[in-house]
Amino acid sequence: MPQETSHGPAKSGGGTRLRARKRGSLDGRRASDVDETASTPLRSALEALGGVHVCSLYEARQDCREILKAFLEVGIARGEKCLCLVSGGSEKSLRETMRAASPRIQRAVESHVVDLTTIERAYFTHRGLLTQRTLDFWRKAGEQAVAEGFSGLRGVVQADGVLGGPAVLARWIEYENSLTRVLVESGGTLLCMYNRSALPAEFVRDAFQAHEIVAHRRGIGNNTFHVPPEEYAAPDKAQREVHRMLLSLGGRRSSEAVSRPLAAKTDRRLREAQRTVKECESVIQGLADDLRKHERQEQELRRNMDYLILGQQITRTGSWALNCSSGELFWSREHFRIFGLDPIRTQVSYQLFFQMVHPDERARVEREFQEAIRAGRDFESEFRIGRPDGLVKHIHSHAYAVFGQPEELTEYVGTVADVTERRHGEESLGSMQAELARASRAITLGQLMASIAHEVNQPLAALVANANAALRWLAWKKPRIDEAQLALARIVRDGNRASGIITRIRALVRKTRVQRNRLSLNSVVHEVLVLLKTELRRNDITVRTDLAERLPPIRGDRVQMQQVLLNLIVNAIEAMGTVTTRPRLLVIATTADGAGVAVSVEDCGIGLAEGVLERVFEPFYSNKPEGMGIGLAISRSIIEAHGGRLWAVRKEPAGARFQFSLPFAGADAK
Amino acid sequence: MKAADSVVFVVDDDASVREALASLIGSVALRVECFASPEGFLRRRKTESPSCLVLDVRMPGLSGLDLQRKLARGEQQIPIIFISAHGDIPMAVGAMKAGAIEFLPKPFRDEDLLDAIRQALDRDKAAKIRRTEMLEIRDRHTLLTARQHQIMTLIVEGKLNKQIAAKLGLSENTIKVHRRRIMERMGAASVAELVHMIGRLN
Repeated sequence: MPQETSHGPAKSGGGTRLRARKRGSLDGRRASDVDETASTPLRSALEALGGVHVCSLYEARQDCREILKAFLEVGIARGEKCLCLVSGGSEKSLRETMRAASPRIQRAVESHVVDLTTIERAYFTHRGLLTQRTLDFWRKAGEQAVAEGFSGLRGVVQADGVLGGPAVLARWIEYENSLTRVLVESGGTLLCMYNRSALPAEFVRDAFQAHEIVAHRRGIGNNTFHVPPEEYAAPDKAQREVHRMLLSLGGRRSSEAVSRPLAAKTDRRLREAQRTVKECESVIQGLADDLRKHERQEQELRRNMDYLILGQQITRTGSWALNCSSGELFWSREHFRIFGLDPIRTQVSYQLFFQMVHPDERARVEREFQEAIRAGRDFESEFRIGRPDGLVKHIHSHAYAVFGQPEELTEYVGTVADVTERRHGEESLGSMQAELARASRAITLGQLMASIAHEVNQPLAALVANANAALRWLAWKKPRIDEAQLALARIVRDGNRASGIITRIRALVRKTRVQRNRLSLNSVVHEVLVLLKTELRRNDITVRTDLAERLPPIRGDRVQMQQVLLNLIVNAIEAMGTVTTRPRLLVIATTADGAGVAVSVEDCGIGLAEGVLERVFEPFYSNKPEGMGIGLAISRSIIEAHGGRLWAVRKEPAGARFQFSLPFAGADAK
Repeated sequence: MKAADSVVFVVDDDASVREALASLIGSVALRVECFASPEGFLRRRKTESPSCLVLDVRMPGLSGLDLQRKLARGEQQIPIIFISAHGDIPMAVGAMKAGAIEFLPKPFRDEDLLDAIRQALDRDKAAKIRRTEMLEIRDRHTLLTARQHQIMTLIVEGKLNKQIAAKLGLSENTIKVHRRRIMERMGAASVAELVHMIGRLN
């Protein structure tokens, strides 16, 4: 007879379903291959059950032991925790029963895979038996079993006489149903054993009707007389009961139905045959369930896959895996899309990948990857790729090194993210910053224009005077060639001087890409001082330079470095504008230490209040009426973009020192 | 240009400008002496030759205008030609009011500078001559006796010998002798010349 169980009150008792656990069955078979009871029908039926509540009726201890043994062994084989509850008086005899049942159970008792306790200890409070407490007990026991690493919980309750008194079917059904729900939720299986000869017949009848699955002696099956809770509570109880009975009769094959009254009288072979049919049906049912389960799993897998693909599309991240020994390369659909390739027609390979990497970066990326493989390190890199459609994409790739059992690098599993938009955004932000820096330079130069004009005018005046002198020397009766030559040489020199200044000014205002070259900050100091010579003179400022010999080069943009120094020196000049009681001294120093190069610009001017040491670097903060307050903010952003920092300190007794530090250029030559 | 004993001083802190000016001025056969700072110029050996000063307005330390004021206070009369890389009008006006010959913005035409130098040297030469004459008159004037000084004052006032004699209670002949002595000592050929000399002295 097929097993039938209803999980919870929402389901009608009509559907026949048996919970088969393929894994459980296999485990059971494998673990019990030396067991003498391996293939009893009872055991097979029990192996097919899970998350159910079975009622077992017995008259003799022998019957009780059979089902208990089979029930526990299935649980042990499945890796479940088995918990046996027994009324106080029967504890000893049950323990003996179990010990006698099989060596396997005995071992399980010793290792506490099977535990034995009394119903009184488990269920009872001082107020007596509470339904809720019973349910709580099983729920907690289930949770604890899982927490301890068991695959589930398997409970046995031997209730001979404990639940005596006037048993009411309604209470039974409600209680049993709750218990079933708790079990189903926790994946547990419960066997309730009732001693038929020790309990009142009314009680046994109610218990029988309250359970979906009933075992008796060597048989186990769905209970035709089970009263589903929703049916009991319904107003049309009787009508539904008849309907259910008819349904259960009709659901069976006619021969079986006819043969049933005969069964008692006919020979045992028929019953054996029926049982075999039932077992076959249960196996088929189990297989069908397995299939459905696979189908469900497959659907779930497909859905997960869809979500994964969608996630990859949204984040523009593809995934890849490279088998290090076979060289086999896997690309996800999004990986193909990012690389602009057709997933069906493209044969991906390590070579193909590196062919697509931008030629400027191919060698570097391949080197990085080979180094990662050699060191067994994770790989992370950023590079551009050229797609077949001509687009250039910025790619960020990150991969984990995966190791096999003998700590051997087996594969790389990684991602490729399309960061093109981010890079373009950064580039436009960078060009905006550069534009702002340029505008700020132009403003600073504008302030210095009078001085700079003078600086250009001096060599020009000298040049014109020299030219006239040369003409006059040559106009003598005896032309003075020597003097004329000297004058012409001076013209060349002064012309170069004027054009040098103009070139510097143009470099400061020209729109050029920010470049990173190796450069000496000492030479930058000299270049800026040439531009500021007149401005310093006009303001009656003495300059002292204290430049470190053999200063290591830094990597940076010359114009931007000039701008920073220009800003700092112009600020220093302005800070000393009101100083009349002491010499106006400007000290520019360069130093090198283990970390990098530092430049300081020190004045003896009005100084900075403690509170504004940091505020001066905020944009639009200015303590000068005509100042825009962007010079220092831009200077700091330039220095920070070069990996350095810029800060200000107060100087005693007067003045301020602005200082910036930059890292060394490093070994890579350019 | 002649007057080899004339000298042009150039004060400019810019070496290029100094060298160029030295060459330009030298090309018209004038003697040039260059100084990088006003202080250096003030320490120079003084000369009685006609001279002028080509001076940059803006220099570290003492500026050109400061030097002009300092020279005026020290009664060192020297014509100044200012040169400036800044066309600074208020500065130019100040310099001209203080007696500058010219204020030339850089770069300047060589003729403008050389004309100015020529003018300055002429003026200095004339001033120097005037100064020499004055000193002579003053020297001669101090050689007169008290009586002669008294009589000379009356002569210059236009009094006749007779009137002077009456006023001083002397004979007309005595006055005549004194008059001759006075004219001799002062080196005046006529009364008109004597009047002119005394006018300059006052």
